[in-house]
Amino acid sequence: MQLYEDVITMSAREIAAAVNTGRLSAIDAVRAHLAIISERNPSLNAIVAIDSGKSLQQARIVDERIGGGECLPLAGVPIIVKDNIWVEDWPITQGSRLFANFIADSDAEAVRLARQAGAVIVGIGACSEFAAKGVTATPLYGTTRHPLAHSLTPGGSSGGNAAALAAGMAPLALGTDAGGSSRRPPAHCGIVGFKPSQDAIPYGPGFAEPFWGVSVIAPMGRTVDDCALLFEALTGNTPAPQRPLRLGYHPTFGIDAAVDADVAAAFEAARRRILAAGVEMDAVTMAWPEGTNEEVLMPLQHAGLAMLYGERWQHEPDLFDPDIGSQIERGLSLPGVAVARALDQSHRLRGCLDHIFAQYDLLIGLTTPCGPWPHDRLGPETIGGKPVSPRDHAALTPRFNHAGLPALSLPCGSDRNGLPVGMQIVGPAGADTFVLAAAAQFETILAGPVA
Amino acid sequence: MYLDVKGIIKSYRDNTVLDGLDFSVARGELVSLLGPSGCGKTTLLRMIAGLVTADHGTIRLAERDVTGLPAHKRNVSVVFQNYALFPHLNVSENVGFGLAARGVSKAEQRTPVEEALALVRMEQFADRPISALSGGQQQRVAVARALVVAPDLLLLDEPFSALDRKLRETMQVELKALLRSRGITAVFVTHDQEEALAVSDRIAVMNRGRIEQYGGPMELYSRPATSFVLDFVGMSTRIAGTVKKVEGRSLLISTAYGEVTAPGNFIQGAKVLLGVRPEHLDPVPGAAGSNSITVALSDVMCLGAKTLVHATASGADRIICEQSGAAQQGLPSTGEPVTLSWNVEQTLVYPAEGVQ
Repeated sequence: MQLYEDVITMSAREIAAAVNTGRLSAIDAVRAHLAIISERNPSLNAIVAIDSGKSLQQARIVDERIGGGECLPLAGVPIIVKDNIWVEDWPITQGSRLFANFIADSDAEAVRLARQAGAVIVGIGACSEFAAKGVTATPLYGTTRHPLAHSLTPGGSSGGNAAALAAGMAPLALGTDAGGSSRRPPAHCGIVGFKPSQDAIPYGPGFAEPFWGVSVIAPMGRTVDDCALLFEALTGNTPAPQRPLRLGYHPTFGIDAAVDADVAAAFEAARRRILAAGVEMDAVTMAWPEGTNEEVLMPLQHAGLAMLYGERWQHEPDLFDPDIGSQIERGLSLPGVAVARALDQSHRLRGCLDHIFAQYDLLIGLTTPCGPWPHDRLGPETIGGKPVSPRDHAALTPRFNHAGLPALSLPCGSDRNGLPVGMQIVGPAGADTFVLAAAAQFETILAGPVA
Repeated sequence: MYLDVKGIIKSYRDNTVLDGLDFSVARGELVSLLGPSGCGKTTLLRMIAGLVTADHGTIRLAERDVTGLPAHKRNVSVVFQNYALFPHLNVSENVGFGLAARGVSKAEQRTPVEEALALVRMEQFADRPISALSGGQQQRVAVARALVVAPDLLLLDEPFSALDRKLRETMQVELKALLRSRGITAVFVTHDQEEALAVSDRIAVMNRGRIEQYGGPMELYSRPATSFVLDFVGMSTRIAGTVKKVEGRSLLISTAYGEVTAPGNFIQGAKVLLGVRPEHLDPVPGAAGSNSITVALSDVMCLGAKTLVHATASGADRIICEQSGAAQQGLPSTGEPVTLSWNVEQTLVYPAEGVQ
């Protein structure tokens, strides 16, 4: 057991180094994490498919490759894959009863690359139905709990991945992010989630998407360095060196969103510590294209879900999460002009921040305007003391998907309940390794003593 | 199992009353469904009786699938809370009613009715009108009426709630002995934990349409599976905390009263609720390695066989210590600090319920 305690606190980079040099076998690394999963998952419900036979078999192959002289960047690193990314021979369901018996017949390219690099899949992480809501709870698999407060949700849609990483079930996970799904749950759980530039990591083969061109494969980890390691293994992009930075900051990126005071205070304190460490920064005024708001963009998801599942919904509504059912229902009744308006707005978000990135290397703000909320609700009832609608907790993430920009959530402090708050770091398109390098620098600053 | 309830779902509009519930009872077992009002216990009882249909799930009784059977074909008897005796019939007519409904002639009814009345020691009252009986006597008649048809299963819905406290305790002992001696399988519904502990072999603690724990009285009390069970069954000290450090199975937890050690499986930073049964707390500083907190004493209640010591607690916490006998000596006076200690192993740890 002592060995297991050690292995589960190791970073992915440390595990890979130990396996590559023969100090640890992939089998032992995987076995330790499987033990933690079997111990902790029953109360969290973060992992929805476990197959220790397959995982150990895969670990054995990694050990053989190491024995044969190979050096693998992710040698023996346990990884969790979200329940909407194909993993060959594993049940992958998108949290939906429609796919309850689906077994993927091939790996998504990102999964294949991770395996090729020596990573071992130790479980499938729970996701909300069709990754389309901000709470991880499905009719198929039930409710996923926040690892630090079981009465709360870790958020969604990559809530299973985030809860599992925070609980030590693996150092790395592969998520997807079409509107903040792999940034908001990490912010709530105190881990790192990275949404790369659009198309930086190959997407698919996999399920049909409600709307193409905003969803990405997202590396998730307990540290920035581990996310960078996974990103490098998937793209071949070598890490950028750290260099002097000029940041623009705005807690909500200029988005008209309600914010909880304690969450805003956590961001402000973190920002001051980064400033005190010598990073230059200015408050920025952000000009978004006229009429931009998250409400106007939602028809893309609703109409897309209606296109894919509308007919099944009309015939067998009992198979669906009622919250997704109402999104499909809305999609079925949307006028074409609402969809055209959303497409127009999505298009205009591309490139709209270019003038800001001409002045500033990166932007920082909050990942979410609030802490996590009870798991039986779609969102908090109030933010900043005002009643809000169920999607308002997600106000700060989707535009960066439409803009195609790299955006990372980094733990930056805690809220009034002592639960994590996430800082979102956004860079210009293609500057992925640069965002990762800056995030690593901020992570070090924030881990240091408070002045 | 003799009674097997599987995967029961029951909703009324948006309100899910029973949420994928499983429940089973062995032959001859006395079981209670215990929970607050609205937890679904009465709905479950009525469903087993055949008075309510399930949306999903199956019910098997005595090796038959009774899910689709109407109430009168299930061979189940129910003792209702208000006994549902017929005021216009006398005692033996009430007891014979179920037999008459099954087409048993008056003459053939006599022996079983007399036997049933003898069982509940009501044979001298056979010709009395119901209105002439006391509450306890009415309850005995209701039990006799339920047993006379030789049911496969006896269901009792809050059967003691109309009786005063003393009589209730007597009737509990009496009824339990009767059911035992006849080998009858019975399910009680009650919201009263003392009643459940008194009459049952096993208790299913229900909350929000689910069974939180199903086990013997001792198991529920000493190893409550959830903080709901800790709270609902017996008294407890309850303290909110945050896990500060994890060493294997040992948790260091910070609370409003200082740090406490407990066994458990939580990650660092987790919000938890600590529970300690009152008799495990000692109002004296403990030995090294035990937990101790110093709090202001707020009240001492001497209840004869035991003394309860209450202390001032912050927020939703509650601190209560139980001493056997009238152990008032040596305690500080109200408002003075008192140090309470307990064994680390006696600390129960649960996920915190309401954070926010």
